[in-house]
Amino acid sequence: MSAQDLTIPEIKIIEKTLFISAFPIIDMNAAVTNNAYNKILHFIKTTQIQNVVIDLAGITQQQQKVIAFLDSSVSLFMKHKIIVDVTNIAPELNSILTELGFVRTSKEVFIRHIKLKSKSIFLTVGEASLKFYEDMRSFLGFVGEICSALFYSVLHPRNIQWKEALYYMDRTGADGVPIVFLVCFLMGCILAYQGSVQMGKFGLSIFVSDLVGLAIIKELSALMVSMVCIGRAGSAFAAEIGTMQVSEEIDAMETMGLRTARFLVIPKVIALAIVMPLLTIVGDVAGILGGTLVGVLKTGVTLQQYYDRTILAVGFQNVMEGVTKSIVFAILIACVGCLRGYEAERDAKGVGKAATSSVVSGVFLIVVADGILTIIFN
Amino acid sequence: MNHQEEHIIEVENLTVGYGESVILENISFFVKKSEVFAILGGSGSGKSTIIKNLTGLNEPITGTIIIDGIDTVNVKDEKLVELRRNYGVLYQSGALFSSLTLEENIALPLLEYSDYPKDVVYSIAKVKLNMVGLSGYEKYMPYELSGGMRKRAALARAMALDPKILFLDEPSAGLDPINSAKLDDLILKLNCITGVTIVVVTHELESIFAVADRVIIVDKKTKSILDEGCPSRLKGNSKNEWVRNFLNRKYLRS
Ligand SMILES: Nc1ncnc2c1ncn2[C@@H]1O[C@H](COP(=O)(O)OP(=O)(O)OP(=O)(O)O)[C@@H](O)[C@H]1O
Ligand SMILES: [Mg+2]
Repeated sequence: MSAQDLTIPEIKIIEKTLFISAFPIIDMNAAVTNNAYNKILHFIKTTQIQNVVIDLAGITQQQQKVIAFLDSSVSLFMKHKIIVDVTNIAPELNSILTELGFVRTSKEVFIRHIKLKSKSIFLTVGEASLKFYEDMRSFLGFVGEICSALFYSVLHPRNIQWKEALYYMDRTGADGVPIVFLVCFLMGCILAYQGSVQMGKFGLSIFVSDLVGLAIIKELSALMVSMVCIGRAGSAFAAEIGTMQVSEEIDAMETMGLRTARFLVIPKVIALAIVMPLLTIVGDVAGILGGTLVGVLKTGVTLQQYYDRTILAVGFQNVMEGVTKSIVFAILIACVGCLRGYEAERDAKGVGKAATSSVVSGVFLIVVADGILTIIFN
Repeated sequence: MNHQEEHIIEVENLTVGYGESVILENISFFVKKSEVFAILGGSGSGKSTIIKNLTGLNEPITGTIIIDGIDTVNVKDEKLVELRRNYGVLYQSGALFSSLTLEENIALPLLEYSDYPKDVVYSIAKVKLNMVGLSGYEKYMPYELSGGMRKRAALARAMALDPKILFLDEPSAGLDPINSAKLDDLILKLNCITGVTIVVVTHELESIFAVADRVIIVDKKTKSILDEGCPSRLKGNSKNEWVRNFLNRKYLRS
């Protein structure tokens, strides 16, 4: 049989069952085997196969090839939820099949255990909710622990690792100013543009400054700063603590009775809680500048008018609202980053996953917290 | 040895492992107060696993571990934290805080649990580093040290709080023979002066005969303790042939 030949007689379909003769496939060179795989894949994709029968007649040796063929093809079928039978098994192969997870059903038929019963939607939703519940519980527990540690630190400021805290403030704060400025400036521009288009229709262009000022100061600046800090700080915290888990640094401390949260988490929380409000104020300024630029250019309001209206519309209380939000967000971001780090699996992949998941959960938590805080403030 | 035959650690019918896989099954042993107790066995036989279970890093599958009269498996967290302040632990991998200098690493537990002012804490750290032969390295970061030096620094940290029990997982691995012997001396000295109970995993036969009051030998195949007792006695007349060969450095082709 030539390698180019796509019609391989060893693979055929009868009704909804695919019959595969393994011996000729395995015994040939790599090209033929490859061809056979492609053929099987082709059948799976184009026809509604329900069963597969793999005939092992003629194979008596425990070759690598047999194992490789069985394992890879069977995984392929399982992925497509097709039931696999294996027949004509030489006694020498029994142990291989057991090893690969097949279960003997009759004298010569092995069936791979299939756990593919598709889950009902209720089960899926239920499990997901339970997981979410557990997740939230552990998060709240962690936040509680951190808050009590924070309280302790305030009473014993000597024990705060200020060196660490300053380091994080430098890294997340000072280095974050340009990006925060840019993002908030653009946000202000966009808001002013959108506002002037919509409000211009009703001749209310003069109020663009109110819109931009209030939206940026009460809401968007704190939100944008959080998004930047989740990406810059939250994920870094998760990765850092995750790496410490991998190298057993945390274990060593915990088993000596040290509450590691106090010196691993607290400096980070303090750093973010100091830096994020400041960044938020930078964002406020940037956003209003952006709004002014577009507002003045687009609506024909003079600079003086725009300035006056902004001062009139935005009160000190609004600024504090945004700043308070940013402090809460800061605690949430630092906590979720650290928690994900603590929960990380102990390998390189685990650290990556922790970083990703800290970002995802961080965004979610920020949005929820923002909703709650907005209701409280109004 | 001590006349007061108090068992500071009492392990009963302990089964340890990871997830589904059982590493050691139904083992029981005890550690007397103020003795040096060694755990021996081939590589992968579960020595580190025992240490991890004793220190509460891993939870046993079944069985009880009683340390200082407290059932550590079923105790509340609060009490366990209290208890653990009396442990010093040196894991096989050392595990210093990579972001802190050596002296900060050692000062950390002291700052957390003592009321000493900072300069006192740092001079204690200096003394402890000196004890393990690392004076002059106070300001080094862990990654600037060799493996053996990291190990010694970790030992210094384990001793920072003057613990009641020291768990040491291969403290002398990665040390040259002279430093290894020095470390043995140090362990003995500590044990003599402070009466600290030491549970040590080691492959160094010299160390075992030099420092250990009692040993247990764990085995991978049978998942059990092959023998226990005084090392020099076991060397001569253990009931188990493998143990005798192990202690006599004999390797028999089977
Ligand atoms: N985190 C882990 N997860 C799963 N299995 C593990 C884990 N750590 C160790 N093991 C397994 O447990 C067994 C015992 O390991 P352990 O580290 O206790 O050996 P050891 O006696 O300390 O060996 P060594 O002298 O080489 O340090 C090994 O077979 C190992 O494969
Ligand atoms: Mg070990």
